[in-house]
Amino acid sequence: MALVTYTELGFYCAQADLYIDPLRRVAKALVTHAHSDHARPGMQHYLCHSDSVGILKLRLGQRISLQSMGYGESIWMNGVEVTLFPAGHVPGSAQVRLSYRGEVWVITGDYKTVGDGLSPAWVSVRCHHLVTESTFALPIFQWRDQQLVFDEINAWWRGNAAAGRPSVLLGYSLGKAQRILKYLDRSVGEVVCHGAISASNRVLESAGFDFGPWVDATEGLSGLRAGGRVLDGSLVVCPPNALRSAWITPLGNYALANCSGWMAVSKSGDWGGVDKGFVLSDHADWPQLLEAVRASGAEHVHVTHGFSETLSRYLRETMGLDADVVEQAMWERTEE
Amino acid sequence: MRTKFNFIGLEAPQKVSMGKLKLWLSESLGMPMWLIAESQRFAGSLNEALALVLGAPEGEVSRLYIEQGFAQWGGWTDGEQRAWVFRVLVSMEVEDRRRFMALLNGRLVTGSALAGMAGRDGAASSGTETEMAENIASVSVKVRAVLLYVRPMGRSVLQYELTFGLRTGEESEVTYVGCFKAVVGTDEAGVAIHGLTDELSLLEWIGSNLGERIGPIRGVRVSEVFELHCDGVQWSKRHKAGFKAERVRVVSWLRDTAGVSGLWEVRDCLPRPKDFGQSG
Ligand SMILES: [Zn+2]
Ligand SMILES: [Zn+2]
Repeated sequence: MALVTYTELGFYCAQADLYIDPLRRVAKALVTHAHSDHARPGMQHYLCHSDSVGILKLRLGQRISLQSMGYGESIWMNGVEVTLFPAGHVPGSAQVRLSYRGEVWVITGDYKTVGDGLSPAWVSVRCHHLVTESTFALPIFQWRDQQLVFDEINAWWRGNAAAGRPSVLLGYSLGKAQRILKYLDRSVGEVVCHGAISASNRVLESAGFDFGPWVDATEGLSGLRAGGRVLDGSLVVCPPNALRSAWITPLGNYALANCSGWMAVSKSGDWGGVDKGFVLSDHADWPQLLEAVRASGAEHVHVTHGFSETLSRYLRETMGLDADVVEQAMWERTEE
Repeated sequence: MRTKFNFIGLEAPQKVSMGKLKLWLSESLGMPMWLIAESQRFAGSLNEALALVLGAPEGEVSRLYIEQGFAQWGGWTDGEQRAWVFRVLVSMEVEDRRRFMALLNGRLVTGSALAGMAGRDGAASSGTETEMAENIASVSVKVRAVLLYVRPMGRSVLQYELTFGLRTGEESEVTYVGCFKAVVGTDEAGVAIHGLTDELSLLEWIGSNLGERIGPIRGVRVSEVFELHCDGVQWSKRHKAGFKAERVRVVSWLRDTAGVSGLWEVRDCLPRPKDFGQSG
C-alpha cells in the first residue's frame, strides 16, 4: 500500500494515522497553511508550522488543540518522519515531507517558487511521489517580476491621490494583503486596513513579520474621519465582502482595484466590477509548476487543486512522468 | 513598461490565418497543440491565448525591422516566416502581440491599407488606429457579417438601416448578435446612396424577404453574408456585442453564406480594456 492515499476525507498517511488538510473532522490534521480551503474547523488535533499558530487560533478558536513545528524540523509518528519545508505561499505555509522505509512523499499545499520577501522562500524537496497543486496550470499564466506589479500599484495609487480620490485594493486577509502592504509607497499617503486584515496583521507582527505602517479601521472609516484623518489620498485594503457592507460607505467616490492571478486574462476584467486589475498571485504560475516538478526529481506526480487534468496530461505526454489527477472535491476557483 | 508599438501604415504582405499562427507558435515554443487549445478555452480567444503563452517580452524589434520583414516576406520559406514572426511577437507586450496577430490575420486594418480601399462614393475612410494620448482608442476591422434585421427609413425614398450580426460561439454555432449598422437605399432620383455595386438588387432582395415585425424593425431571412469595413470600432458597455463602430461600409455582398466572422475576431483587434492584465 502506498504511504499516502487519497480518501474522502483528504490525503491520508495510514502508517502515521495523519491527514493533510482534511475536509472533515479527523483525529490528527496536519494543516499546510491557514487558508480556509486547507485549514478547516473541528479537528481533534492540529499540527502546523509555528508561523501559522496565531492565524489558526484567530480563525478556528483559541482553544483548539495544536502542535507546531519549524521548517526543517522532524517529528516521528509510528516510524514515519514528518518534516515541513517553506512553500513560499503565505506566512506559515509549508510543504509536507513524509518518509518511511526509504519511500518519500512531498505534499506541496499551495506554493510559489519565486520569493516575495514576506514569507520564507520555497525550497525544492527531493521525493519519489509529489502531490502538487495546479491552481494556475495553464501556460497563459506567467507572472511578471513582482516589483513591476508594485510599481504599477503605486503609480495607480499616486494618480488617485493626486485627484483627491481614495483607493481601495481588494485582498484576502491572509497573505495577499500583507504582501501588498509591504510594498506600498508610504510617501503617497496612509495605508488603512479593514478589521479582518488588521487582526491578521497583528498576529503576524507578533510572530515577527513586518509590513510597514498601517492604520487600523476596525472601528469604522467614519470614526477615522471624525478623528481628523483625511482619507482622500489614502489606500484602503479590505476583503471583497467589505464592499457589500456599510463599512465602505464613508469613503465616498473611491477607485477600486483587485490583485489576482486571474486578472492576467482580460475577460477577468468583468469580475466584480473593479476599475483596475493587477496580476499578482501567491500561487505558482505555469513555469514555476514545471520547475517544482523537475526539481523534486519525482517519478510519480499527483495533481490536485486546479487545472489538474491539464498539468497531469502535460507531465505524462511531454515530460514522460507517471502523473495522475487527484480530485479535491472542495476546491473552488479562489486563490486561497 | 514598454511603449506601445505604432502599427499605423503597416500592411501584412499576405494573410496569415490564426490556425497557422497557432501552429507556428506551437512549434517555436515546443508547446503541444492541445495545450494551446486548453489555454484558448480559458482565455476566451486564440489571439489572447497566443499572446499570453509567449510570457514576458524578450529582445526588441524596430518598426523598420517589421517593414523590412514584410518587404522580404514573399521570398521566405515557411520556416523563415515562422522564425521572423516568432521573434517579432516575443519582443512585444501582450497587447501589441494581439494587434500584430490581428494585422497579420488581415482583420486589423491600418492607415495605408485603408487608403487603398476608399469607398466607391469617393469618401476616403479616415482614421484607423486612432491615437488618443498614448492609448489607442479605436481600430478599423474587416469582417464577414450576416444580415439580421432592417429598419425602413423615410416615406418618400426606399431606404433601410441594416443590422449585421456576427457569430457568438464556435464554428458550429449559428447564434448571431447584431453588431454593425449601415444604411442602403436610393435617393429621390432613384440613385443608390451607399455605393454598393448591387445595391438595387439588394433592395429588391430585402423587399421580397421581409419577415417578422418587431417594433420599427423587420426581420429578414438570415442567409445573406456581406463583407463589411468598419471604422472607429471601440469598446462599448452599452452595446450587446461589447463594442460599437462609428462608420460601417458594406464592401460587397458575398452571396455565399459561409464563414461569418466571430464576435471575438473583432474583440481580438480591439485594444484590451487598458486597465487589465499584464503590462509591466
Ligand atoms: Zn488553496
Ligand atoms: Zn492558500
